[in-house]
Amino acid sequence: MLLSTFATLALVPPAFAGMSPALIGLNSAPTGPQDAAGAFAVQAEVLVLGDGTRIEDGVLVVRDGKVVSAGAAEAPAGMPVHAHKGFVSPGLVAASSRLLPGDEALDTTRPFLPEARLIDGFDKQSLAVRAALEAGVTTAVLAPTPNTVIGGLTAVVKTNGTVIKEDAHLAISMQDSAISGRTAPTGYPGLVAELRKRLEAGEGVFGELTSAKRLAFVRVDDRHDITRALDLGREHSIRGVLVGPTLAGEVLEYMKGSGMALVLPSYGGAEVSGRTLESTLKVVKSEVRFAFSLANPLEFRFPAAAALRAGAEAPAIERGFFADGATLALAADRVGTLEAGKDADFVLWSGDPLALTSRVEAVYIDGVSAYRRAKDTSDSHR
Amino acid sequence: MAYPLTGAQRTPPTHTVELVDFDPNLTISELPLSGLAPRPSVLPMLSSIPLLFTATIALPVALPNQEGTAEVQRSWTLTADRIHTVSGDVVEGGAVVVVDGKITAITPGASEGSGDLHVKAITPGLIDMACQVSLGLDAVEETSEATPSASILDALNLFSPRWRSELHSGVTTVLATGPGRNVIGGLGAVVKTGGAPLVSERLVQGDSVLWGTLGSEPSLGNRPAFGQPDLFNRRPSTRMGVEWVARKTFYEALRAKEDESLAFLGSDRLTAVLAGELPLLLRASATQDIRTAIYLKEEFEIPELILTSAAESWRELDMLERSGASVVLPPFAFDGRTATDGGFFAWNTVTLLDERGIRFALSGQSGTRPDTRLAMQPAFATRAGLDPAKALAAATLVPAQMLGVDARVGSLDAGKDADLALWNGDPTALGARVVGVVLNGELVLDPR
Repeated sequence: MLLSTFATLALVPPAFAGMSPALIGLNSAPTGPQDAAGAFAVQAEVLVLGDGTRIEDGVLVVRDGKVVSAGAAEAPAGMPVHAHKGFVSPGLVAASSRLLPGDEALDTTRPFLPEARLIDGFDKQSLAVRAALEAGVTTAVLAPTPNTVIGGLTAVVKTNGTVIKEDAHLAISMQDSAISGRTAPTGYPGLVAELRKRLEAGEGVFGELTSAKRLAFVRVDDRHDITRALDLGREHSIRGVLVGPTLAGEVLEYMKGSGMALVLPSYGGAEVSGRTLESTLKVVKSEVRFAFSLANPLEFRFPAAAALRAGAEAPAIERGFFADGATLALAADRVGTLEAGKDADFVLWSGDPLALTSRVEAVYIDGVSAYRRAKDTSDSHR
Repeated sequence: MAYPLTGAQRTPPTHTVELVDFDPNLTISELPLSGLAPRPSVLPMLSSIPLLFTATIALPVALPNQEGTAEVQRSWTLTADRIHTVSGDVVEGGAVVVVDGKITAITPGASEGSGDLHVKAITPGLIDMACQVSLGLDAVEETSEATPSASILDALNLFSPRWRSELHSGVTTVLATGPGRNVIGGLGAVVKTGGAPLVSERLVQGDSVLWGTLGSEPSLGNRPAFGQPDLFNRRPSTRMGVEWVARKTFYEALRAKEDESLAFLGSDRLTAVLAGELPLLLRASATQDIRTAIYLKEEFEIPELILTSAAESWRELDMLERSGASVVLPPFAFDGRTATDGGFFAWNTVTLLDERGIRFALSGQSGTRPDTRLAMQPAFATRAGLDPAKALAAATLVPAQMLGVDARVGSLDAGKDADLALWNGDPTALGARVVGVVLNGELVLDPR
């Protein structure tokens, strides 16, 4: 155990740049210099605010881990200003993720685990968390696998290990992987009946769901899963997010007024069919609130880039990554946009964050450098 | 493990539920969704064209049934050489008048060209009581052999392309049930085969039958427990066991009726069956399974029993007549062999049942071959010697009556749903086929 922890740390030497003063000056990104009040400013070629707006030559002012201002104004006189040749955006928000190590997200002992808390399986030092951070993801919802009908309470964490919310949504799986095991329920009637029984009894978290004190995090796959979940949701006045459906764009009209938002599935280049892409595009162009889920960090921005290439509007995509992602992760009061009072979680990009060719140069969480891309070492190999 | 109630007559979810405002950020706008906004109708444009064309062309009042077309025409005057009302006489040279999705009149004396379109024959939309469009094993709760509370409404895939295939073959209403893995499977529902893919849009009647299965199907693949038993070391593993589970379930329901503390999930549905408020539909193909079903009916004094897939009902005419049970026949097969338990379905079964006054319906079992479709069955039954009118009724009005939905569907009468099958010939003749279909007044298959 100890050994593996060391191994993890050994793989991530430039983890907290605040502890690596040697790196200061090697990169244009701000690392240490702050004024007497602990404030600094970042000037970016383009400042992406996260709510769909962008500001050229924008300035982000940070003090004590919070955003003081973000806009076109000049930095206050005397404050250290770091000019970044590139884009600066809020940290990406993953409204669903697979950040629990190994089997920790899958408890096969029982299909109904309303007491389970995903936060208890969170290892902030895991490689998965590190990889998400390096991909620019600063906030993520910890979700169980879709194999358990009630998978427990999701948690919202930052990729520096900070916990934003220990008990966020109630994770429910209504897709076929919840009924394909060798335990009850084995069919949709049993699945729905078991859920309905608990919702009607209204005890504990189920009562919170039906009284709209807690949001549901409902895993769905096929279109009939979506309509079944919407029907059950309407029957019991449940609100929340539908997570992972590839063809939600084909049933958008039934989502109107349902109180349900969408977390789009993650997919890589080879997996996307024209129909999936078309569906994603319809979602992005609709009024339904959506965000993205994180499976492989290297592919996190792929569905958005594919939709963008197919004709989606950039502001809508940005809201999905930042502002709406934070809303669906129940963390909009703290993250998701660069605005005064919110946590100073931001990413320095080499270019437009919506372009797959852009790289993450550095990531800041709570105003502290959490990741800095190592200097291009290609020269050293010569 | 038993499963909880779905609610005896659960009302389908509506789409007008006002939700508690939890988080204004989450409110999904009621604005028309992009791509879903109604397209402007072509009609105003056409009608704005001056009299130039209107004199020579009949306006194509039927908007194509396309996605995104907001306005669907649901009012028609359809003329035919023969209109088979099924509930009454055949109307020669008449019209079916449809207004807003309902039949308003059947008028004689209408000639070709006097309505919107003309076909050789119009019948009610066909009703299949043995629909097998389902999610397969995902529609079965296998943790118990008796799941009387499980509703098929929770396990429908209304996006399956097989619904369209049913609809375009003339079947407009079906009884949806699930596969026969359980002895007591659950509650079947009557749904339309077309319309928006939502339960609330398609439902005609929920909880229409309690369905179960006899014979070898519920024990298929089961084996007694050995080693560490799991879900699939399940009973029953024989016909005897199947019958035992059925009897035990009803016996326990009887006890629950006497003593409320013994009530179990779904016992009220079984009690409803015993009281005649809910028909019991049992899948029984081979002769011994038909006998078992009738023994159960007599032992527990079940008022309404419907046998489905009842291929060998011709062997048990006396018992069927005595019991008053109804029968749903499988599709005709050229050699009489059926898929279920190797039951032999003799071609003259229909005439034998008819002679004894045993009520029966024809079914297509959602076959994909043209000859197994329900639309062909009245013609086969006619060829087997049955009166053509009775053959047509066995695919329309009789199943509607068995399911208790004949006030809405099953015949052409004013006030009923405008579900129509349009034919290019005599529907009880082998050469004819369904060329057009109207569902709830919408022309879903255009014969033109």
